[in-house]
Amino acid sequence: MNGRSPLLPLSCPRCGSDPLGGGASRVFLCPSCRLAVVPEEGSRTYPAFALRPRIPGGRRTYLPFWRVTGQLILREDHPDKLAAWRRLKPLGAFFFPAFLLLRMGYYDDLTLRYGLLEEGSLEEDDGWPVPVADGVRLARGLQEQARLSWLAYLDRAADVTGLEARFEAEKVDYALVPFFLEKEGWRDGLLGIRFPKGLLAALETPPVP
Amino acid sequence: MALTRTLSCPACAGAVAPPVVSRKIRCPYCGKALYYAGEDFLPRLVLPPAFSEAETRGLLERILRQRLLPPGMADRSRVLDRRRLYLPFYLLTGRRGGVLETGRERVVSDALGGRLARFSPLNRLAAASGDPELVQMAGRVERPRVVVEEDSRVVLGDFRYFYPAASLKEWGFDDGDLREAALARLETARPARLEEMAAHGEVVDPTIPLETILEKGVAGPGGRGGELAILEVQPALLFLPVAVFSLAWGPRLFDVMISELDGKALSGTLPVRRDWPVAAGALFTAAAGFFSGQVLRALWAASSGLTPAQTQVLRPWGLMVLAVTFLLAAGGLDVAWALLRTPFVLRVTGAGPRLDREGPVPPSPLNPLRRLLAAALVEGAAGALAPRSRR
Repeated sequence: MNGRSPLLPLSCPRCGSDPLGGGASRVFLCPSCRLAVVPEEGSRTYPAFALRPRIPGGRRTYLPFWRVTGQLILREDHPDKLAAWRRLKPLGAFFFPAFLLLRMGYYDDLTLRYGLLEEGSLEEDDGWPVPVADGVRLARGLQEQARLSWLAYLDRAADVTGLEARFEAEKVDYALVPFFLEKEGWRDGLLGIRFPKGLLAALETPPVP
Repeated sequence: MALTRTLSCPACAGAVAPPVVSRKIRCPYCGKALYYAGEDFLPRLVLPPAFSEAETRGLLERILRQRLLPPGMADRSRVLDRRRLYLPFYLLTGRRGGVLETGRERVVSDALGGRLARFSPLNRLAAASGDPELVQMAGRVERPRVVVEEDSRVVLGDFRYFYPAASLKEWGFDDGDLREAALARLETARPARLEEMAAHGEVVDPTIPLETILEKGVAGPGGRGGELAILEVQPALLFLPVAVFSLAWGPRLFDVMISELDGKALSGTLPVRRDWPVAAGALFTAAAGFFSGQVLRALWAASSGLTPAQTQVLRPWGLMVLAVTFLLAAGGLDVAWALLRTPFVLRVTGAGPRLDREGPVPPSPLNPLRRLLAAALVEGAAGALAPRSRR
């Protein structure tokens, strides 16, 4: 803490109200301003929004993700490789989990699947969702994660050895994705992908803001 | 996690108690919402016990029915106390990624070229010439080749580390005994509510600083140079429930710890049944006595029909046989003594029960004799090995 007090004021920098968040939160939400507030980053704000479910479901819980949009800039002279990569469907925004999860591997696939969604197929919800899981991961290292996610995707079509690539993030925002709690487990509300019930057991009693 | 220092509100400078369960607190004086940004605050999770109280008692009974324990211990021992400990562990989850240059081996076989080459006049000429170099050159054309092509693998995956947050030596087991069960049941983890946990057991405080774990257990973030870099680390504190039983067996007290995640016995000591060592000791003594008697009887029978001259010749041999018999009998008694008097205990470990000695073996009454024999042997040997002076 470099001698500074570890206690920081917690308020929305735009409207001054108390932002919402559970006991483990490092990212807080201001529903009126639709902002995510990160006290550890000098109360830096990110646009926050909830996504409307694309499929019907039962009991709903919203899980926060960092949504990163940007573009990959490549330097590659090999025409065959470039042609192979051009044939791939371009990836959209990346969704990286901001909530606490104990097996992150489940989400590598989810990040890619969300990235492959048609542009404009995700709609923002009008109301403010409840309950929302605590955001415990800060928006750190997202650019590198996005770069590697892109490279892993390109590697399916052609080898990426020696490829010079950098990801330039244009926008980072805080997206609340609906999940449904079902008998057998959880189901995401965008694609209907099922997850083991225990995966989100830490959210069995989701912290209500 | 013992936050003892006082904090002051950035708005009104009032004293604020350090947070225990939530990063978000409120100043008791000005009422402002505050955020605790200290690195020492971790999300706390707990794995719920997988067994009811009756089931845990059943697990203990199963342990007490082991063959090495005194018969009837499961029914006749008294459980004086049963308590639950919540032991703290660090669970570090995160992402690791990078591009690994792996290379790819490919077998290149010019099958058609090889077949055609076999019929080529040049190869036939080489074969006919008998020149080994030419024959080898001709053969090389047909052999498939392994070509290493450059290739990379993009890795973006998660990692999970599990370390004890308090020294487990006090309880006589290590984290390996709980790791497997904890990771297998990780998906049942739920937020730890310390007050609720304290009502059901004793919550052990973490004593090992997280920095030590991060320094020693996880490579520092940002490691590059072809290796996988740690992109993100999220530490959490995970409490695991362990049942501790205190038992009375006769005048003595024993403790047994059982994991409440998978029912595995973790540590403790239990008495060992005495009837087996007693029987073994008695058997050794009887065998030694019987053997000595038989030897003496044989000697007596053999010596009764001998002339005095023959007796004179065989006397040293007879004495030697007697000495050996005596030593064997004494050795048998010694083993019997050790079996009877050694304070054996059954040590319960995560790897299974182990027969162990609780203290030193009491000195045998045959020790003076043993010392005498050892001294005689050593002195005899020393005398035999002493350098002889030159005349």
